[in-house]
Amino acid sequence: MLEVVDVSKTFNPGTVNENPVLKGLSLKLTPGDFVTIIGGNGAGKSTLMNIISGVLFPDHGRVYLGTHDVTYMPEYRRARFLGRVFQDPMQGTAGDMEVVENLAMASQRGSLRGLRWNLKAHQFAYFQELLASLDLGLENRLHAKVKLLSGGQRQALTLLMAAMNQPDLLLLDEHTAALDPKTAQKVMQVTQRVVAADQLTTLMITHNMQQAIQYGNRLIMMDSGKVVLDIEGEDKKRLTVEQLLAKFVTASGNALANDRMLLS
Amino acid sequence: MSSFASSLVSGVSQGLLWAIMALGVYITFRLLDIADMTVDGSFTTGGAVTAICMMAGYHPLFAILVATLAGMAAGMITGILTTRMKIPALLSGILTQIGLYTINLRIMGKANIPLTGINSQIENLFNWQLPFNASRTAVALIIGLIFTAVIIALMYLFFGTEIGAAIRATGNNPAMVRALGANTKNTTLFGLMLGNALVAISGGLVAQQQGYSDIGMGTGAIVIGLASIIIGEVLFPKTNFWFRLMGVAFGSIIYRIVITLILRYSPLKSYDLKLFTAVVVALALWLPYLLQQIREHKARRSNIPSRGGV
Repeated sequence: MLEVVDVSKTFNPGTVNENPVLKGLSLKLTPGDFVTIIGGNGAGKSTLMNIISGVLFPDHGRVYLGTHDVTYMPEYRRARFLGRVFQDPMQGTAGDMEVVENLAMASQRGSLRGLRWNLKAHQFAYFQELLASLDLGLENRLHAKVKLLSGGQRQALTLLMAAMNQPDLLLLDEHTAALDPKTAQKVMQVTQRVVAADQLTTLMITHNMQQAIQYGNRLIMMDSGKVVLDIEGEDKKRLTVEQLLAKFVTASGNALANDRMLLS
Repeated sequence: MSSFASSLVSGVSQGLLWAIMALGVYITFRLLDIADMTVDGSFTTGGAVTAICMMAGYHPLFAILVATLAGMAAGMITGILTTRMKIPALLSGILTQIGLYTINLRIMGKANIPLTGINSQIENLFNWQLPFNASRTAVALIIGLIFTAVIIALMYLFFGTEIGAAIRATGNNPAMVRALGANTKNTTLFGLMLGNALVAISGGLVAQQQGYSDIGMGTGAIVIGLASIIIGEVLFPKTNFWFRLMGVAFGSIIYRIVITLILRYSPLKSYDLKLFTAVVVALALWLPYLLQQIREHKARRSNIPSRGGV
């Protein structure tokens, strides 16, 4: 489904601030995989996400989605393969527009926009059903401006929008990091359900070790721009936070110096 | 009709013709979130193109159509500067505006083209002969009403389409629009073209109505557009798109009435108006921040310590 081959990315090359973030990273996802990616600050998780989604282009290596080589495909064009949820709850929706307008725009992802009405009468029932599945009462607020929703509600809405039209790959970039623990849990429940409903191939970045272990069928740990750990199936199910920490030390050769990751 | 009433009616008809310009500014300023300085130049372009088309003997409506295309071209230049060449939007507009000064002079061949007097034989929309006996002001009112109503209706419909929604969302959250598969470079470019097309239509109508096209007729247009938008938002706060568009038109009308009354009943002269408008718009743009500061100040005053500190 997704194949990242030997990708490198260096920021500010040739300057004193030269920062090689990805160093020949390779990664292959099979259809239906739900992969969690964990790693400290500066491990290159977000850069990897940006290269997959087309916000950044790699210096070296290729990115494939299905049979398409998308290495240099512009962000807006590869959007037809991708559903994305961002860390910032504000980033996934248009705040000044209505809930239903946002959903309608998401339903056009992957098709050419024209002079048809943005809001189509026959889609309303479907949107209402989707919103009702969130169990947040949003089905009664179709015409509310999105900026009036809470961060958790916005993130749940973004999830629905990202999963619409069954994207080939769902990218979740620390999408619960900005939420309080209870809301984060709720959004993770929604995530689990949305992913399971359509068997979506999913890549989820997280800072939260517990989350990385609890969700998905495969766990990848990144350090200094490389994959240092790749555990799946039964091995992953039996994993504990302590084991994960120990494995990190063996894999990377140094202790995990990241409070945010340890504490969460 | 008393002279007071007739100056009111004249203010309304002027306001309607300028409202189309303000609606163009609304597209760029409120929907795309760009302060598009192209407007001062493209308004004059609209007037200039209309004037030379009319002088060449074309129908005045055809002249407006050509002006519309010229306005689109002006918006496209700004759009290319900002989306393809990554020049900041504000600067892109200023560059186009400066360039248009030369282009407008080249179009007209001189700084002013009269469409009345020696040229009074040429066809003008505002010489429309109505079946009933209507004054020139009444004709201007009717033409302004027709154009403004049609443009508001078209805008309402267009911004309800898939492309229209993508343009609105671009001003709101471009990252989201790209993630949903629309090219924000194109939506921005298209929005700038539409906005300046409306501005040029307004320039063409104003030139016909006032009976001349002048190189300086667009100076300060952007500020007048902003003033109209702000007045409209005060009149119709927190309302739907329909009323927001109507609000811009009403804002433009009220702006013109106020100007007419000031010229009539105050010692201010017409050359004082630009400063007056600039000060009013600056105050209006300050207002939301001022109100917030007042609220914070009150909150601090009422936050009395219950026990002493260090």
